[in-house]
Amino acid sequence: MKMNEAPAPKVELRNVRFDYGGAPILNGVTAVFPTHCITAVVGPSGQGKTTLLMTLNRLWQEERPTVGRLAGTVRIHLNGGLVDIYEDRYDLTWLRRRVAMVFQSPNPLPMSIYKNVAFPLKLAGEKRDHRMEERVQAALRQAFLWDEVKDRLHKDARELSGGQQQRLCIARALILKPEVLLLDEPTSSLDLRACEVIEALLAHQKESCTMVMVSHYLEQVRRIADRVMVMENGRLLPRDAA
Amino acid sequence: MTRSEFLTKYGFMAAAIISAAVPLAIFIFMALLGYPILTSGRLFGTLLGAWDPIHQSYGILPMIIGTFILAILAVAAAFPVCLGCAALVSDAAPGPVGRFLHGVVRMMTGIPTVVYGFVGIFLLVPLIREAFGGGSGFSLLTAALMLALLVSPTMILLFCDSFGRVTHTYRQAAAALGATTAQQFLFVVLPQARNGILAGVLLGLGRALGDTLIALMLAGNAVAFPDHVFDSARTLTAHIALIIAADFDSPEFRTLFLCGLTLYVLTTLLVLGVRLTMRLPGRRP
Amino acid sequence: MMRHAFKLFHVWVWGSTLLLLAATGTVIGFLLVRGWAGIGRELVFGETPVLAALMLQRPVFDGLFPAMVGTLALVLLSVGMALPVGLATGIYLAEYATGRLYSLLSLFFDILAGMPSIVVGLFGFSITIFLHHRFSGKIYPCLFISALSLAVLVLPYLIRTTQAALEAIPADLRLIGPSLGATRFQNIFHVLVPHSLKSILSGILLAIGRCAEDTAVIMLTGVVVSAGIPKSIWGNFEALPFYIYYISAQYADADELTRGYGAAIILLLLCAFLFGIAFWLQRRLSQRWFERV
Repeated sequence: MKMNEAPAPKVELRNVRFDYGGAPILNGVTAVFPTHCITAVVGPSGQGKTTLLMTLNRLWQEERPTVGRLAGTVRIHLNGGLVDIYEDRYDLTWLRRRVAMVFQSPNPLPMSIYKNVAFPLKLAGEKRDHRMEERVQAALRQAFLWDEVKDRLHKDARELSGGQQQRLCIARALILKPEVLLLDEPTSSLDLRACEVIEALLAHQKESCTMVMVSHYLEQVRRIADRVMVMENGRLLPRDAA
Repeated sequence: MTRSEFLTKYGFMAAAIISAAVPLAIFIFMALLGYPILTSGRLFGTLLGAWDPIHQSYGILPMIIGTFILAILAVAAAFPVCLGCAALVSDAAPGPVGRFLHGVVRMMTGIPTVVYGFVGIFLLVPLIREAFGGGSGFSLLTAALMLALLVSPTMILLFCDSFGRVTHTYRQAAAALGATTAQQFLFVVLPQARNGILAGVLLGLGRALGDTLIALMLAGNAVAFPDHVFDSARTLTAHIALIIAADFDSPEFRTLFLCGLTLYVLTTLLVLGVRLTMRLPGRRP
Repeated sequence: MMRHAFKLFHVWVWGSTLLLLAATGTVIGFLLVRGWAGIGRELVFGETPVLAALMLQRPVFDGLFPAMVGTLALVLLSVGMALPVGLATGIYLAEYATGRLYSLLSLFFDILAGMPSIVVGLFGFSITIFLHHRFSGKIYPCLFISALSLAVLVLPYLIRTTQAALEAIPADLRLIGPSLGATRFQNIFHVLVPHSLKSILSGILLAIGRCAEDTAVIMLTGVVVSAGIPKSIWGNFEALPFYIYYISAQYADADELTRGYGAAIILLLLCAFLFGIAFWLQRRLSQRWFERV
């Protein structure tokens, strides 16, 4: 990705403030995450990086009672234009099927490999088996996992290694063909080898997906991120990559 | 929100409303059927009078007194034993022994009440009769002892919980100062767990007040103000069980619902007390 | 001085525990010693051939069989009634209710949980009176009313175990479903409930135990000493705990007393079995949890 072309914005935050039970976490974040780029968000822990990701798929609203409070606008390029995702007419389910998320530690559900990957598709109402099989296979290939698991699709997903589990979670996030993928330190619990595989597969997804990745490792950020932003005191400041 | 989402949410809500209506419905039924007494101007006479059907006096005071004495006796007898047992289980015993004993106490909560009553009749009643000479052996003391055994597991488990919640750092601090297990328990854990202990006692009282079978089977059921622990007595619960056979519109029968209401109010007050002492936050901590 | 206090403390805690264990051991031991000899085929089936009794071809007169069938019917009916409502209420409380509504509802269920069973029985009895006067003179205390009252009795247990199981699910697991586009209902049914199934199941077992052992409720709502196998839910029925109670007061001869002991042992074993499995499930659950963390 060439930096001087200035690709169109995919996600746009304007003066986003978030406080959790009165404690400010985000103090006016204004930023743009361009289409088909991997934007890395770095910074010391406890600065609200995960919270930032959760404002993009509104996952913070799942906590009940909702203690968080958000102000400002978050717009994402969906349905052919930038839309304010906090508008009432947008359904949470609709949003999260387009803005997927991978968590810090691998979290396969206690079911088979196949069922894990097929899960979001099943929730979305897909009933045709052959269609499901095609999509599962495609997603597993995208996650560089197909060759390793094609003979044991119906084994418990928790038998896989840590790195495989995380790739399974990525396949699960990709199966609905999301336009934005949020990654919350996806390799922090993995060894170097597993880490490299995941970096390689993420780099492959850039054509179809815009990624926002929280990371601790500057090495990793240098390797795959197109743009780097630093989170400090609840604000997001741009830094040039490399 | 999709249609099925909407339907399920309100389906769950309907179930919650039905469940919440149950305690209200119980209260309303008791109040409606006890209505003639509540409005006849004889309420206080009934609550505070003596039971003397021949002279048209249907006071339930003896039963209220009997209930209180029995429950307090049982909890008083159980308290020191439960506290000691809980101290051993959660503090003084080595890990595996503590866990094993905790399991045993939990299993004890499963012993049927009627079994306690049954064994009480054939084991404890003759023992009391012989040991203390004279009388039938059916007495407040007999029932209180069995009742103490019945409420013990509840109290121990609650005590253990509250001991377990005492912050570990306090204990470590005390241990670092050279405090023995006994000193740690007595000077650190016990004062910190004060609220939990009170809650356990209240809960034990609630179980003791509400128990029917042990009182009915072992306390002798005489309607009189008991003078000492070897006297026979009747509780509100046993009274309800004994009178239920009478015909529908008799005055004796009406007093049942007053007994029910009294029990309802007492246990509700205890539940409120427990919530207050534990300062239960309305939501997850 | 301090040393004495130290010794005294240990005497107290060990003494209390041993006293309690001895008392409980005495209760159980007494029952087993007196009643074990009576345990056998005749205790349950009397003189009736086992197969004929099981097929309900011939009535059992001198055995516990009708009381056991009565207790079984009672348990199935009442847990069947309480289960859907209890589960749904527990789910509502844990997953939907917030703020004031949450506190108010949990207060109500605490009150219900503290309700003495005789009051619940009296409630069932008053419902019978109400139905008898209002709707049909043919309605009397019966199996249905007993089961309904027992359902009321165990409802708070089911609500609480469901609620506690769901609320114990850690946040990271709770968020997986929604992050993949699951609606709240989908998340509950595909992730949260399956995950807490074991603890919910152990709650159901405890509720069954409660239904099987409670005597006060059924005493007021239709249990009798001799009714045979229950023929309809509108009729009287026998039950183990009531039989034990009745025998303790009214036994006519040594045979009946032996049957009383036998019934008490059977009920005790049944409850121990149910509680044992329930606790085993909970233990396994927490162990698995620790392994994960």
